[in-house]
Order: sequence, then structure tokens, then C-alpha cells
Amino acid sequence: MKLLKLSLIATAVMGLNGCFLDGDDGQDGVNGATGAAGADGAAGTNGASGFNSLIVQTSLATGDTNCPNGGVQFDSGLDTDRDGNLSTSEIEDTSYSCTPGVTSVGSSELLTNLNNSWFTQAQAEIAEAKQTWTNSTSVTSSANASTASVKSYKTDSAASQQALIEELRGKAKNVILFVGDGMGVSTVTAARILEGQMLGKEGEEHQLSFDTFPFAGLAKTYNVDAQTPDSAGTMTAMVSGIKTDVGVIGVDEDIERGNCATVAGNEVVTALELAELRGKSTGIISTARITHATPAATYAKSADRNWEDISDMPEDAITDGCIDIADQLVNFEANLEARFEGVDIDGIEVVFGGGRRHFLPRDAAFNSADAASSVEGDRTDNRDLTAEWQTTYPNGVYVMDETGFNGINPATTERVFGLFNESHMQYDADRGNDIAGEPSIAEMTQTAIDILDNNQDGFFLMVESGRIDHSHHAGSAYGALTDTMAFAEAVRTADAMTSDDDTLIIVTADHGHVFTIAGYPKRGNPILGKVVGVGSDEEATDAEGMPYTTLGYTNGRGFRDFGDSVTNADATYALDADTGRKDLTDINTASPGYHQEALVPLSSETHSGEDIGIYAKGPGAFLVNGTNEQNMIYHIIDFAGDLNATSN
Amino acid sequence: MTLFIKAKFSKLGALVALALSSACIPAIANDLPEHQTSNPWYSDAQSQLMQKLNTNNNFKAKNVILFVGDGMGISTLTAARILQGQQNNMLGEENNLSFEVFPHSALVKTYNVDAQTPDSAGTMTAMVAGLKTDVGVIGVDEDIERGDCSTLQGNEVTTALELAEIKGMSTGIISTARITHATPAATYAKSPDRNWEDVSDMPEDAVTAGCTDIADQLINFERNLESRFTGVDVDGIEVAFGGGRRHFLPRDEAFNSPDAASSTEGDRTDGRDLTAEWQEKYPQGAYIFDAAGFDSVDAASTERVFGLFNESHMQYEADRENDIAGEPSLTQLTEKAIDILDNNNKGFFLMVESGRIDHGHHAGSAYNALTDTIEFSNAVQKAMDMTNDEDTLILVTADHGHVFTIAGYPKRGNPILGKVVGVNSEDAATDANGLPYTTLGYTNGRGMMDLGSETNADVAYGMDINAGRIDLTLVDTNASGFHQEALVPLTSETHSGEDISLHASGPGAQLVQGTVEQNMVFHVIDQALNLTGSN
Repeated sequence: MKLLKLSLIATAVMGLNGCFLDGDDGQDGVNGATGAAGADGAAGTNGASGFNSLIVQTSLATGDTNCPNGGVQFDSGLDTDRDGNLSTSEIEDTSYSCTPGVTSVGSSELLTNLNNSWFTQAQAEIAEAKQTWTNSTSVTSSANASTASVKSYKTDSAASQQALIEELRGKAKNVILFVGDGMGVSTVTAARILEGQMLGKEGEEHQLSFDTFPFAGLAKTYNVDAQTPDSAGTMTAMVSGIKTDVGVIGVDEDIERGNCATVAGNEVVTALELAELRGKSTGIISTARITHATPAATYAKSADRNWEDISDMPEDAITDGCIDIADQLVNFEANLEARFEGVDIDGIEVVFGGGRRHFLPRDAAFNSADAASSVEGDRTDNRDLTAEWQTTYPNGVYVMDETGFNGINPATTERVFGLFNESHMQYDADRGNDIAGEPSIAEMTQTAIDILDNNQDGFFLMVESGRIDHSHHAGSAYGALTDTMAFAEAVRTADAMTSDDDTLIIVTADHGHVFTIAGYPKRGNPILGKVVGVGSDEEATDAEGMPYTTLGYTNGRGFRDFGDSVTNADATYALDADTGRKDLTDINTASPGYHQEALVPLSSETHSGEDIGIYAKGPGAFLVNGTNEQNMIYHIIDFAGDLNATSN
Repeated sequence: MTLFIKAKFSKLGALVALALSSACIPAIANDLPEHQTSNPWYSDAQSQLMQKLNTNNNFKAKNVILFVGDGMGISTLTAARILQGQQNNMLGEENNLSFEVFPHSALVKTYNVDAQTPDSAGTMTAMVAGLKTDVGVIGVDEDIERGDCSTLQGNEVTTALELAEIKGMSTGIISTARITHATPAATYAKSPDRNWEDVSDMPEDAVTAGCTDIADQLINFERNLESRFTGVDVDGIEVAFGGGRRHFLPRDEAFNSPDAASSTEGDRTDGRDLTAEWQEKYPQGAYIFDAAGFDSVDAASTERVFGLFNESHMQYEADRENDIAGEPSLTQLTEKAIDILDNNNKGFFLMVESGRIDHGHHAGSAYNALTDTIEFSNAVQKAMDMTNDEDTLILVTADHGHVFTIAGYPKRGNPILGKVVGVNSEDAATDANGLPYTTLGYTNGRGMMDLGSETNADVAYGMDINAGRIDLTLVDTNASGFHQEALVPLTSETHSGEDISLHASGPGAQLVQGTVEQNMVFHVIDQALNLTGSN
């Protein structure tokens, strides 16, 4: 701050006004006291002459300690030795009148900053961020964008602000919710680096598709009864706007898990159901079983996530009238219509995933050409739900392999049901090993959007990458990261096929994993490799002299060295847990079959409890910010898509 | 809505909620059952959505406060939030740290130019100078060669603190680490090596080549800045609070303070007493070194203060009462600093670092890391209370994370420092070998320590490394002296490389968006204060 020195200038100048180099006259003597009716008293003696007060000005050159820009130094004091000079010992006060400093510096003096590409890139992004914010929070008449006035969202009256809120509401004709199951923040970072390195970059500077999205927030993932959550409770939060218990699907926390009798009255309505009610097209995609927790939470109500088909249910739940999840998918339309009087919807247009076993009878005669088990189906009620679906939707297309998928014509297909695996679909890295072939998550996303966007009222699509989670559970970073990359590619596809003007894309996870990126690898060190430090070409070693990997888990089944040929992380389950440190000196930790070490031996590596990221673009994406309870995601979707019919 | 924008941030929520009842009543849903819309999770989220819609389009700030939680990764935030909640008799998970209610956020990529997993020197240089650089270097760009004095010249960069000084703003730096440590140093110093905290830490050739140590650069900040820029006349940093007295005193016990921990407190081999030099430069300034001195500083009349409260780092918050001469808390330091800095009507720039969250983690002590995070959150709350979100931009972030995890599957409200007890269970869950395990853990470090009621995590460095699984059946893992297990045995638990978060409130906070490179932090500050004149 400069106030101090500027005020000294003023003081110094004032001092100059009363400054004479001649000495002042001595003061008059004090009058004697008035005598009491006596003669005048003698005149008092003159006072002694005062000392001359001297002020000496010294001009200061640029670079002076006290006045970096030069100026004048004022020394003042009394000339006590009366020699007409102000000697050093006579100086009582010193002040400076400095030439004022500049309060900004020219760009020529900031070249080290301004010529740096990190700096200029960020500066450009700030300008962009400002534009993004202004565009996101104002409303432009779409009729004639070039002449329309952009209304600032912040206005003087509450009433006009409310009007603007209403204009922003429903700006997203389409909503796509991408869920990377188990895709915590460390997974996003590691996958970004791996994808970058596979593209020949150093990696860290790379961006996954959704890393480029303009907005990001954090989500608190806990369930009502669980510090570290599961996918059932978290996905119910994301699609229904309320948190609930671990392990339950589409019901609130008043449910008792596994108790069928507590379902009635605790069912909640989901964003997918609201989209159906609004006449939008709807779709669900998962690389896990389509009856698995995440996809199930969009369409089913169940006291237990494990009730994927009737054979998974306890007898009393069946007799109490609870319905398995696969059944609820196939009968979604009828069930929803039964819950809303007078409503006529057309059901889910696109369903892609795994989990065929939950739709087929436990009878080898119903095996598909893609069957992995001798008896593919699990159902003990002899129903073939794929056939029932086809009966309900004679114009719908049921597919179960890559050939069938490739045969879909999105322009003419109004409805499709694809079950590409008996259980979960393959890990993306293992997809080549599928019996009858499977589409990738990006391919499924592309076909889904191609079909759904035929509806002029818009669509709601949920896409889950379900096996990022599974690979972490198995302790394979390779599988988790390559599935995250396939997921990012699906997001990229969706982004390319839709417009930011009418499509809100939200990308998030349901929870993280106990998966870490350790110190201190140098820049560009292979993310799946062992740590090699900055300035070194040798592997760093631990306190016992052994190398260690950058990636690791705090629990799970631990180390495996399956080599290059094993791309199915689930191979680990055939072996006992093997935790703790290993000598990795001769191990290729970058091979697809390598599983990272773990500390605590568990049958399956666990979820983690820390916040995960939410990434968004499109109308309403600006609401994705700050730290949120996970159920906020529903409310942003609801607002942007105007899904919940309102009273006005 | 201008009316309640003027209110301080902490009160904004309540006021918005009030306003909603008259002006912004969410439309009544008719597709959802009443038990869904009246569910508090649902209605709370609706209210918060309305707060999000009450957007702020004011981009320019008078004051900026940058809070850095060193090593405060996302898992640390979550665990600290739960611990603070549980200390307040909540279940914990639903709690929010003070800055978790900030309206704006971003994820931040932390890597240094030459390091996948970064250090505080490179990351803080990115945050305050607007560009990424190498690991281990302070206030210089990536063309530097670490440790080589001759590569310094021409690679120095200018920081937000320096530009704020030039603009005539008041400036302050606070750290619970040594004030010469990487994070605070990056705001004021230029050094090819973060370790050159005083002259005794420098190689001989660096000294003869004319490089100066970091403590010296702090004391001579005003003169140095003036000599770097033509026509600039600044008045120097008004507030500097931290530890690190040893780097300012001669290696001579005659200079020991009453707070000295070592027999010879000072480290300097050049015989200089930089605290005396500072006092000589700033006769009106107050130099203090303990809680009593701190308490005597009158913020209304003090124009400048220099507080060095420890020979090395200040104490962990949980260990503060064990300090020889007493130390203020980070909250108290923040309060005093703002009280002094806000006397300038041109505004101020303040950097506040909680430096020992990082140290708690390095030592493998979640307890110290989390209790220091809670105190950091308190300091942010104090700053929120003392400033107005119409003119003050507050940024809260970390420089990097740690390999620190929150495992499955504890039930809701399970003590965050405890062993895992599952949903609907009262018994500790067990691993494949039948042993209980803690919710919190590290993938590397010194490993498990059972130090009972110890509150200084650094005691671990006096013990042997003890990595791997341990039978915790009889161990109280909630004790302040418990150190979590670790997988890979290392002398010190490491930083981690995943993204960390940036939380923002106030004018210009809207530009905190998406996933960004860490050097974006500077540009957010620059935009709000117009430091480089580029906007």
C-alpha cells in the first residue's frame, strides 16, 4: 500500500510553506504583573533569541532506498550550534517526498509470465469461462439470436428473476446421464494419463472427453445408512432426488432392505419415468447386467438389489407380491400406467446391456447362441421374458449379439432390446473374446441416440459403464482404466451427436474405489508402470529396496501376474487373496493381466467413501458446481428438462 | 435479489430460503408422491437448487484470499467433514466443511511440468504465477534447472502477491509451516531450489554465484521487487505469520528466543539476524514470536507485523498446547491478518496455508491431518464472517492429495477413525484372515503406530517403519496417536497424483468451472483484481 508515503508528501510540502532560512525573532518578554495601584513595573527583559529552525532539502536519484523513483529528502531540526548549517546531530525529523511509483507494470516487464504457453492458454480459458458463465445464466431469444437482447439473469426484481428462471427451466430438450460405476477422481486422473500415453503423449496434460466439459461439481455419495455407499442407493439418489439406504432400488429410506412388505408406499418416481410421462423417448444402457443396481434404479422398485430374477427372491417376498427386477423392466409400461391414473405412455425405447440369464427360464432349450453356461437362464418360473417383451412390442427388435446389433436400422427402428451377455457384458479390453461378439459402449450410445432423437419432444438416456467398478473390485487397474476410456469415448460420441443448445450431458460416478496414484513418478512415466523419479531412469525403491507401482489399492485380493493374454480381470477370483508387498523387480506391471498389490486382504476390493466428480455441459450445466449431496443430480435434470409436471 | 446479496455469505442461505417463501416458491409437483416431495432430501435439494439459480454476475473483487490446504485431497476433505460432524454429535457424513457450501468449484490437475505426482513448490508457483513449472522450484518457470543458481536469471516469474503490492493493495502471507517453506515461499521468492530456506542450506557455488536464500528474500521483498520493476515503489508485505525462526537467526545461541526448542535455535551461517534487519527497515512494524506477543498486536493501529511462532514448523493444531511459548491458531492468525489488511481502502491479497495437513499425512497420521483440516476450515469460516462476498473473492484449494483412502463398508455414522463396522452390524468387520481393519488407510508410508494419546504425528519418525497388516483387535484406532497401516514401506507417505478440488465464493468465483490445470488459479485471481492489466 502506498497511502503512507503519499501522505508524507503532503506533510513535507506544508512544512515548506513556513520555511525561512533566517532565524525567527525572539519572543517578546512576558509582561510584568499589574501592580496594585502602584507605579508601572519595570519592562520585562527581552527573551533570548530562539534557535533557527532549518530544513534541508536533498534531491534523491532514482534507485534510492527510500524513494525508488527518486524524490526529495527533507531533514529538519534546530540549528542549536548556530552555525547556519543543519548538522547530522541536529536533525530531528526526516521525511521524503518521493516521485510516486507506478501502480501497474507494462507487459514488457512480465514477459516471463506472458510469453509462457501455460500462462497464455489459461488466460484464454478465463475469457472463455466468463463467456460460458454469461451465456449459461442469461436467456437469448432463439428466434433471432443476432439481434435479440441477451437478458442478464441477475435482475432487480424478484419477479423478473423468477421469470428468467422459468425461461431457463426446460431448456434441455434432451438429457443424457452417464454413470461411470466406481469411477472416482483417482480413476479419472489415471485413465486420462493412460489414454494420453496410448496416444503418444506424456499423458498428464491429456483430457478425457468430459474433462473438457465447462462445469464440474463434487458429490457426497454416502447412503442414508452407509458411510461408504453402494450403487443401488447412489443411483436411486441420482434419478429420484432423494437419498436412501444401501442395497435398495427406487424406494426411500423407510424401506427395510429385503422386506417385501415395506415396499408399498415407499416407491419413488424417477427422472426416466417422468420423461416417459412427458412424452419423451427413453433409453438405458449398461455394460453390466441390465438388472444390476445402477440401471435397475431407473425403472424398478425393489426392497433388494439382488432380486434380479425370481430365483433370487426369498419365497415370502414372492408370495407377498414383490416382483423381480427383470420382470419390472419388461413390464415397465404397464406398471407405470397402473401407478398413474389415465396415463398412456409408450415404454422404454432403447435397452442395451447384459443379464440375459434373468430373462430366460432355467432350461437349456432356451439357451442363446451366445450362452456361456450349459443352462443360460436362471428363471424358475419358466417364463421367457424376451418373448414376452416381443409379444408386447411386435414392432420392437430383440438382439443378443454384435450381428443383431449391427442389423438395427436406427432410422426405422422404434424400439430395441439388446441383451448381449448371459451376465455382465465383457470388459472392453476383453470384448474380442466374447462368444457371439458385443458392441462397445460407444457403439451402443450412438445407436441409442440415433433412435431416441427421432422423437421431437426429446429424450432421456442413461448410460452406465458398469465394469469400471468390477475391474477395481478385482484389483485390476488395467481393466478399470480401459473401461473408463471406453466410457469417455461413449461420452465423446454423445457430445458429437447432440447440440449444446438443447442437450444437457451429465457425467458422474456413483462412488469411488480405494485406488491411489502414488509419488513420485516423473512426468510421462507409464501410469501402469513402476515409479521412476524425476531426473532418474532407475526404478525408485521402498524401504526394503524393492520397486513399487504408481497405482495401488488399500484392500482387495492383491497382486496377480497373469501376463499379456488375460484381459478378463475376473480371473482373480479363482485364486486366493495374495496381499501385501511382492518383489516386482522382474514383473511387467503394465501388462493387461497385472493386478496391483493391496494392503488388507478382502474377497473383493471395496468402494471408497470420498466425494466423486460431476461433469456437465449444455442447458442447466451451470448448476453443476460446488459440493452437493448426490441426489442434487436429479434436481438439475428435473430443472433443465422440466420433467416434473408442475402446477403452472 | 440484490438485497440479500449484500449479506455475508454465511447468512445467504437463510436469507434466500426466506425470500423463496415469498418470491421463488418452487412450483408444486404433481407427478411425484407426497412422500417423495416432502422427503427432506428432496426439499433440501430443491432449496439448494434455487440458491444455485440465484446467480452472481459480479466479476470484479476488491480483496482476494487464497486458502491452500497443503495435501488436502478429496478423500481428506470427506474424512475431515465426517470427523468434524462426529465431534459435533452428528452422524458426520451430512456435515459440510465451511467452504463446501461455496457456490463454485472446479477439479484441478496438479502435475508439475516434470512430475506426474507433484510437490508444493511447483504447484504453488502454478497457483500464484499462472504457469506450471518443475517440481521443487520456487517462483521460476520450467526453463530453470533445479539447484543451479546460474539458470535463475531471466526465468523469474511475477506472482499475484507481487502484482497486488504494485497495485497498492495490502498483502499478507500465513502458514502453519515454516514461512520459508515451499507454499508460502512461492508467493514472494525466486529460488532454483525449495530447500534454500537459509544460507546454510545453499551450496557454496550458489552463494558465490549470487543467489540469495528464501528467508533473506522475505525480509528484502520490498527492495527486491522495486529493483525488478522500473518506477515501482511498494511498501512491502504487511502481514507475515508462520514458523521457521531458525532460518532468520544466526547459528549462535545468544540469539535464541525464549521459545527455542534446540540448544541453538538459529541456522544462519552468515551471522545475520534477519528479524533485527526487518525491525530496522520497518521501525513501526511489530516483530512477535509467541502467543503473548500475538495477543498484544492491536490490529487497528498496527500497520505491519512479522510473527515467527516456532523454530521450525508451527505445531499441529492438536498439539498446539504443547508449544513452549504458545502459538495462535490458524483461525486467530487469519482473523488478525484480515483486521490489519482491511485498513487499506485499495483492498488486500492474503494467502493462508495450512501446511501441516500434509505433514500429518506424510507421518501416516490421519488424526493430525484431519484435525488440521478442521482448523483450516475454521479459518476459512472466520474469513467468510469478516468479509463480504460482494467484494471479496475467497478461493480454497489444495496443492495435491495423498494416498489416503476411505474403505468400504462402514455403516452410516461409524467413527471415521474407527474400524469398519458394517450396515446393521455392531461387530467390527474382518478381512480374509479374520482381522478387523480401519476405514482409513494409506497405500504407502511408515505404517501402523500405536502411540496412544500422542498428538504430534512426527514422533513416528523416531520409530521403525512398520508397514503391512497388523492385528488391530486390541488397538484403539480412534486414539490421537494411532497411525494407519500402509502397504508399501517408505520413510514418508507420499503425495498422490489425482485431481484436487477448488472451491470459490465471491466476485469472479463463477469462473471456477470444470476440470482445469492448476495454474488457472492465478488467472481467476488476475481476472478479479485486474493485476496484469489484461482484462
